[in-house]
Amino acid sequence: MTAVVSEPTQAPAQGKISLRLAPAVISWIQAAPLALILGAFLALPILMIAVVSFWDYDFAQMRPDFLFTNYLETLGSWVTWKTYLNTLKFAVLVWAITLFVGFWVAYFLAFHIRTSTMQMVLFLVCTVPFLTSNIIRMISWIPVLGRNGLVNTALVETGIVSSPIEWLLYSDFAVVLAMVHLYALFMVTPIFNTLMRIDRALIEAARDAGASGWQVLTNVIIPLAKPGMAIGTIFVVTLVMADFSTVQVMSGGQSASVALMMKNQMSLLQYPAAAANAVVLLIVVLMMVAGILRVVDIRKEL
Amino acid sequence: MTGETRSREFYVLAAFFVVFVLFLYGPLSAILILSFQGPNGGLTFPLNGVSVHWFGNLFEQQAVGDFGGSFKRSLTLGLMVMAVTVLVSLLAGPGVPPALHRCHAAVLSGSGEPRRALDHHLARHRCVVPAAWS
Repeated sequence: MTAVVSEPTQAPAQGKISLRLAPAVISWIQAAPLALILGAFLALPILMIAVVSFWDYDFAQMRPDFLFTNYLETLGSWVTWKTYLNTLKFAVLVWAITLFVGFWVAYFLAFHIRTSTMQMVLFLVCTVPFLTSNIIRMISWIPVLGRNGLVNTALVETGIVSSPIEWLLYSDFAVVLAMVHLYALFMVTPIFNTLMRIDRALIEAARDAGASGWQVLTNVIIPLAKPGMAIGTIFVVTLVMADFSTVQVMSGGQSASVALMMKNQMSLLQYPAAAANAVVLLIVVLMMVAGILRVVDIRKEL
Repeated sequence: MTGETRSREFYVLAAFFVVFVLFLYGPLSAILILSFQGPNGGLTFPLNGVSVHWFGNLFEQQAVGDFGGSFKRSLTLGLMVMAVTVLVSLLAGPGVPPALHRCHAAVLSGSGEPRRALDHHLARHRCVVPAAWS
């Protein structure tokens, strides 16, 4: 009888042995899927591009090799430098405009809207256009800016100008306009987040100390908004440097960009040359990001 | 607070914001208006007849591309990507900071007492760690 009684009481105790892993192992397992995805989709392709950039090629095939000719051709050609200069010009222009526009929109949303419901609503109003396709939003500028488009017909019919303005479309102006349109939100969001985190008591303290509105802006708000501005800058700069469709469509094929250069090389099946270009672009953009991170410390944001 | 009048700065910034929103929505709304044209419509104003002809054309047999099929494919793709991304990010969110901090803490403390060093590190950096895992 004792044997029969003791068995059932022992069984539940044995069944309760659960799988107890150390917390360290658990957190590594949790981080594993993301690490695998980043490794397979980010690290591996970049490694492959770096390897291919040293290969040899002719009109018909690629041969695994270890040559520096691709890099010498890329860095030694004046076409490359001119294209980089052109792309950097767009990057600087788009960055300056989106910084100005983004800061004031974020400032308005953070400091002048009283209820947080309204803030969410207005923020959604700004975000909804970005849910539609990038290409559509870029192409939708063409009927607006074209020679017979909205702007020109309105100007000609009201008599402000005698003939349609030519430089509205298929020009640098159109490229910068379309890029600002596409990437403005990437500047508004980080700055808005940073401004929301600013302790309102600091601004009250500044006013109590006698600061004017302008002094509050330059001494309290802008220094505290710098991490957000840096993050937005990183987004916008990397996006502009990698953009090829906007430059090609909005300039009508007249302007060059680095990514377009790579696309052309790939369509000619000159993969090692395109890979060398890609590595050079990656290094340039990483240097720019490192420069931005040197100037502003964004660890407070993360 | 409710009776406070708005400063002039508010009106200037509000006008700027309205212009910004119009700038964002402008081209899309132009295209939207242009889509309500008749069969002879082009990409320019004025409108060539007002009808829903092109919306009907969307669902008919097309010479180039099949709207219904491609829409279904895009939707399925979007749902699959969303599921995978949400799953991976949810797992990685609470998992990556402790994993990184354990590395940090082990390095900093000379791996004397990893658990105490981790708690010390987390306390200093005020990380959000779910209680279940700490």
